[in-house]
Amino acid sequence: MRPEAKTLLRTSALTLVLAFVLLPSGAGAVCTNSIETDEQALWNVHACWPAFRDWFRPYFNLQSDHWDEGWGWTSCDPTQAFPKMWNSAYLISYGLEDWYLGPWHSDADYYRWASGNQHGFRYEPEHAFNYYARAFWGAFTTDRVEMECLSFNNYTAGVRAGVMLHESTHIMWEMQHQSNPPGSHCGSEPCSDDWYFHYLNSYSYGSLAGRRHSMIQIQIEYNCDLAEFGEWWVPYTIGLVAQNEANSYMTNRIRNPPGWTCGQPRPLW
Amino acid sequence: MKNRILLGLGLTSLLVTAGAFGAPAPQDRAVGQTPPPLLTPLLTPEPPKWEDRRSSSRMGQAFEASRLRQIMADLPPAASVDQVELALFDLLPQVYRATNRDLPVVAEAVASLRRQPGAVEAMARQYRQLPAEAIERRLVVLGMLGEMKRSDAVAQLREVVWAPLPPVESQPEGLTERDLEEMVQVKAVQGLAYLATSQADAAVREVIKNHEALHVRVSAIDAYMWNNGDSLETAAELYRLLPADLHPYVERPRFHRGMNREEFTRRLRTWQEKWGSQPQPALTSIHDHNGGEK
Repeated sequence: MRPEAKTLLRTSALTLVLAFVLLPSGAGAVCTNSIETDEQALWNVHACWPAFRDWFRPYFNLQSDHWDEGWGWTSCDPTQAFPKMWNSAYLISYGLEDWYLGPWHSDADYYRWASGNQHGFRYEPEHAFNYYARAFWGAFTTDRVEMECLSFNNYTAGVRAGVMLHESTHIMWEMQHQSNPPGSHCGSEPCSDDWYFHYLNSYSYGSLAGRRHSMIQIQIEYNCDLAEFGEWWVPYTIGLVAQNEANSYMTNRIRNPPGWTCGQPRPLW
Repeated sequence: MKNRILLGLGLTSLLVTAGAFGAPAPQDRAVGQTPPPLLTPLLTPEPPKWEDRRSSSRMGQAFEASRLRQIMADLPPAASVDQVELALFDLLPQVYRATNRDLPVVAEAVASLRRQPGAVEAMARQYRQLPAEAIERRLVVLGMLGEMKRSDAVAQLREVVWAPLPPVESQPEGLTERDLEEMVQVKAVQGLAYLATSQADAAVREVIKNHEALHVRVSAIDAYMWNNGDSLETAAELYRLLPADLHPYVERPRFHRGMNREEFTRRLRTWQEKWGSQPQPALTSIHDHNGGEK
């Protein structure tokens, strides 16, 4: 290629790059702030603890570029999206009692599983209403989990924590949902998963990494652990909803039923 | 915007790489040259110790056990429905703020309410006023209604269980409106089963046999078994009553606080041997595609 032609090609490409960089962004809208009782009750437990904020931001990989400007990056107001992510990360990190006769997996298992930094993706907010959250990954894609507005309105911090674990699993195992069992609520769109069976003592606490679980399976195990082995300070309604969600998913979204049920069917707890 | 910046940076790096083909070869690096600085700070692998957290400044309203007890103490022994409902306006927001530690105090309040003749009607009124999307509050109120174990609650609980469900919709990454409504109906059928009267048991069996939602049916099976002592006789009754595809749901072990782990594992092994299925071969193996979006 002639030198002039090369220069022209490079100049054109550079112009294209600059155009992409300098183009104005979209609307820049943020999800509506909303007040949830359990969100505030959980916030009261840590009261905007800066040491945890400074740890979870890079560990889960939430960046100011995405979570500032209306999303609440520097806020201590749990009606905003970023503090709600903070609440969910807090639940994942400390919310379970890990004694010997305890949950399926430990806090450490779950926060390592949901960590964006450990698995090469980041969490971003997205002003959209089609999904609760979506995972994107691949060779020509920025690996990321987009948390949509449905995750921040009338949705408990515990359920949101389960969604983070679910979406992380998509990326970690490069796994898609499978076809639906009869009675599924997803219509024709695949929304169901296999259950990778294990017993209570199959994996010791802290050794979950690399043990295959499907998206909905890890969500069920986490939700049930939170419901049944939540710390004393976990808001009651968070555990109540988590138990119900675990059982709902076990019936409606798992192709090979795991053979157990979450909690006792007593009305109040 | 951020994605565009990244795209721009990516394209720029490609351009630089392409340009480098025509550039003179770089000088060899000197041995021991200082590596480039890290782009991101080193991460702490573990979170700060929970015990070191800042003490709560209680920015919002917190649960107050004394307030809850006072509300119940202020009610006359046979308060009218209106009086109980007025008390519930104060009491329920306290319950919504309760943590796991506060549950015994909530249970005390429910036990007091149970002795109030107008409590069921007052709770039913409160339930009807809740917005449909307030799932956690609907679950709490229905749970309290069931926990009161009052036979005059049957009509209200049946009304919830048999309410029409929303149509099936597509939501692969979370709960659908139908899922949420089914969760509410499950809570109502648990209240029915907890009554453990012949009338209520008949109502639960009707749900087990005829309800349109699989999740409600299998939850009713579990509640029926639990409230009948998980007896072999009750299991046999259900095996006779149910079609074969629902038999695996009759004797599932329950994972719960206070369970005996060995007993849970033993029952799970038994279930697996009788009904268990292995994961289906995945439609997509983990490395046979370049990416995804879910």
